[in-house]
Amino acid sequence: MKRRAFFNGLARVAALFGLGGLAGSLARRAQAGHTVWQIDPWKCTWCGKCATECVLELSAVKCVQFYDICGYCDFCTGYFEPQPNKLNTGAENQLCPTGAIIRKFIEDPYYEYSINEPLCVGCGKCVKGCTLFGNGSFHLQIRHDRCLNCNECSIAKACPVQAISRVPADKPYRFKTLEGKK
Amino acid sequence: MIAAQINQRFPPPQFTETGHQLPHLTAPPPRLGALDWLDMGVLLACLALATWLVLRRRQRRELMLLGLFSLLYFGFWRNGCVCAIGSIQNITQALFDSSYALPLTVLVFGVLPLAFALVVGRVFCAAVCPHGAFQDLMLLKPVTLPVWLEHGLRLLAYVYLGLAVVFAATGGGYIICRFDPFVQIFRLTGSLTMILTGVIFLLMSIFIGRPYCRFLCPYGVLLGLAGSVSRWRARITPDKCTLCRRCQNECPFNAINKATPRTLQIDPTPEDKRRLVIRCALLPTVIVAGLWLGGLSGDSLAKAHHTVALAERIHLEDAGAVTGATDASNGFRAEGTPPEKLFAEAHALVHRYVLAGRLCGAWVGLIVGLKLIVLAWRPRRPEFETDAVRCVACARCFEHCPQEHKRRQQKAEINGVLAS
Amino acid sequence: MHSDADKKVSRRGFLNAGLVAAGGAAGWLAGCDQAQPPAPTNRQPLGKRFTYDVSEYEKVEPGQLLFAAAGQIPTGLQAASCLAVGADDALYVGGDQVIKIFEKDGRPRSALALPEPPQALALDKDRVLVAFKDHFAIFDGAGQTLLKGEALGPRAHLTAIAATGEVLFVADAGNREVVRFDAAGKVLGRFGKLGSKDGNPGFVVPSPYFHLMIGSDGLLWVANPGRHQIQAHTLEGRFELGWGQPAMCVEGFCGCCNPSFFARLPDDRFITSERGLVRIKVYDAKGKFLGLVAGHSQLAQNDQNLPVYRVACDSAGRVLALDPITGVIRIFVPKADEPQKTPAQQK
Repeated sequence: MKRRAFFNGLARVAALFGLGGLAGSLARRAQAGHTVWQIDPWKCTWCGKCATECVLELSAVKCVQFYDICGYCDFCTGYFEPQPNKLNTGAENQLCPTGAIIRKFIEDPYYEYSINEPLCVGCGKCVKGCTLFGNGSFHLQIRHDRCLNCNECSIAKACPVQAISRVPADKPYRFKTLEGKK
Repeated sequence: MIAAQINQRFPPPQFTETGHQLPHLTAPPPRLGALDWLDMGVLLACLALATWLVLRRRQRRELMLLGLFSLLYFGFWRNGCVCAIGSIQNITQALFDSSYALPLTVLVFGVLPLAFALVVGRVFCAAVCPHGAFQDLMLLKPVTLPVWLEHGLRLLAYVYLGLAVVFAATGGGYIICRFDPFVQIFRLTGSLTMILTGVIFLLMSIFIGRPYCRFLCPYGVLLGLAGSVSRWRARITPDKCTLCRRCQNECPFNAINKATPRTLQIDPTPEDKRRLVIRCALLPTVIVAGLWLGGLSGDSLAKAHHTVALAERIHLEDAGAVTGATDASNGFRAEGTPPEKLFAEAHALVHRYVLAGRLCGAWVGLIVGLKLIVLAWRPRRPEFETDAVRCVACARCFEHCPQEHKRRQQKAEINGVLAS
Repeated sequence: MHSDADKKVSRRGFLNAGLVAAGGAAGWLAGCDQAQPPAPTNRQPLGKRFTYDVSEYEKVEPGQLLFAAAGQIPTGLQAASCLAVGADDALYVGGDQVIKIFEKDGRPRSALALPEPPQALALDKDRVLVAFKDHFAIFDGAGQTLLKGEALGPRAHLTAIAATGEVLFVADAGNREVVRFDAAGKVLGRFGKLGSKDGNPGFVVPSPYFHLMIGSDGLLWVANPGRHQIQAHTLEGRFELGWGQPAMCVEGFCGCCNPSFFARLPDDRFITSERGLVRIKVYDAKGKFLGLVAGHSQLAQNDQNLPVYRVACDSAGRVLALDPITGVIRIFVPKADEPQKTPAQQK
């Protein structure tokens, strides 16, 4: 029994030492600041999985409007059905299935479009319409007031183009910028 | 790509009539980084408290209260993420992928419970892990599983650990997180299948003590191994064991080794020795078998990796074996990377998976072989004691030990005397 | 009491444990071979209501195709941005920091190095007019700078250039106006800004596609993408007329801002290029829809990264379309006279 205790002790010390070494070597590379999940809008293909794959009932992914690159078009292809009857806010003309886009007249011929986030399901339908025909100012982003920051993001796993990765928490968004893609 | 780039370098319209200013895009910040330190602090405090409760206070009820707190804090409040079980994968990924930035919290959650286990046994399982606490609180009508089933099912956890490490090391994803049965319940949202799985596990927990911890939890494997060499751990009684067997009957986890019956011959029989020798000789065979089987599974394991799956799809599409395109293949073609590059990448990955599969198979073989050896080798035990690997320090056995009752009575008397 | 019984039970237990383990491992491997366990999906895929679908408008009626593909010329440019046809039908392709010149059969002729990436390109006799981001420059055939225009400010984003003898026009998408220069590069005037009182309905330019050219009719034709029109102006900048309707269907200009580019055939018919629904179409000189050069399915390789074709026409009536993503010029010939393929026209 004594011998056994001795070997146990030896193993314990070795294991503690090893564990400390592992932790130390990893701690040198570890980040004190945490990281969060975010979508790279330049890779995103608006497949619609963001709306269905999130662990939340209503996805943490929402469409955002980056006003600086919006064309403020009257005929916004992110707002209107491909072939609308009229360019007005009638529900039958709207592209968004949940009516989450707000259209506001600014001055002739400019209209401002913004997202009513509680209604947005993150399906990316408007993002596709905007990006194909317009400037792509609508894009999908993970909203951190909703995101649970799961260890493995289930949307990231399902994303067909691997557009979701971890970013430093102090720069938690990847908006499309005026400078374009890096 | 380039078209998109040119597309965006373009100033917005000027609103000369109204002077309208462009609104700013809101950007709600993520959870405060400082709260990470709180999590780490709470973990350390809970581990220390659990240690004190297990080794000194020896009170099941207090341990349960701590477990309830852990369940509420780490489970329902922190939504089960960050978690020590899942941290295995992050740490593995950090070891194999130097570009991966391991969060400090995850490292601490991975290492601290192990360090405690090396010294004082699985106190983390006892009352700090929300998964364990959840199942333990559900355990109302424990039934004892047959020993053979217990041993067989416990092997699953080793396989699960092996696979989790394989996938984390090769970039195939975090299967522990993906198939975690409780995290969806902690979040109160999630896929129906996984919530149902969680509910089934909880219902099972009413009768079978901690089914996830015992038969699946990969972190439990590591904690068990660490606990096996621990210095201090839960002792059924610090006093002399009366061999009453009540502790063994009451342990819902088959984690108490019975004392060697006094009637039994002290020296092992020649038959025992022979069996031990055969099983020792069997060990390399089992390992090699595992190695071989693991290597065979490498190809299929590799399909979990996005790149490999995509390469396969592109190959099939190009060969005309499938019609149409998936979102992934569409996206790949839009990106314009030459398929040859993808194929080369996928090829290298498959090689890595075959290697990883072999190692995983060898690991499972090693565990099976060692298990057979350990089962054949029965050391003499003068009294009933907790199994260093399996005991989760739940403190149930204390409650049922007549010696413990005696001790508590004496203590109460002493306290009474001192008070008067 | 329990010595022998226990031993027996345990021994059987060992075997059973081994069997369970082996069975478990085999089962796992077999399971792996079938398929990976799919990640638990939260919900069913989204319905049609949640999918942006314009496939109906991507269809092309074969009868509407007036042109046929007749080969391609790979330019080898990483970022091809502009295309023009010279007097001798040579092809000028701008991109990266160079203008590459090809013979009409696709053989490379020469190249002119540029100080920065070109945005637009036009030819006036043997002068090469190049628009950069905020200024233009004129080069001779050997690449010598003849004239460098003044910079038009930080908002400037030039997207087209055209000249005839004494006047030169650039389209400034950033400022949403056309700028007139004299032969010496001095600004003569600007027109087309929204809200200006010069009788011009104003250019609506939501995205950096804003094309102009001078027609053989002596008019300056400017695409007004936000209004889905091609508009004619006198060389003094006075608005004359415009044609074009917004519509997804093939007769109209689709999306929020089209046509992106246009060119004119020797017989004055218009060739227009659209983005979103990638299509190159033919209109007569008055703006009546005639048919297609090529439709979405021929021009777009995938659904995500859609090219915006730059178009030009040569004296033989061929339509040349530059794919800026791949840097390939695609050649289309009228269907009436089938292509006479030359060896250098590579597939």
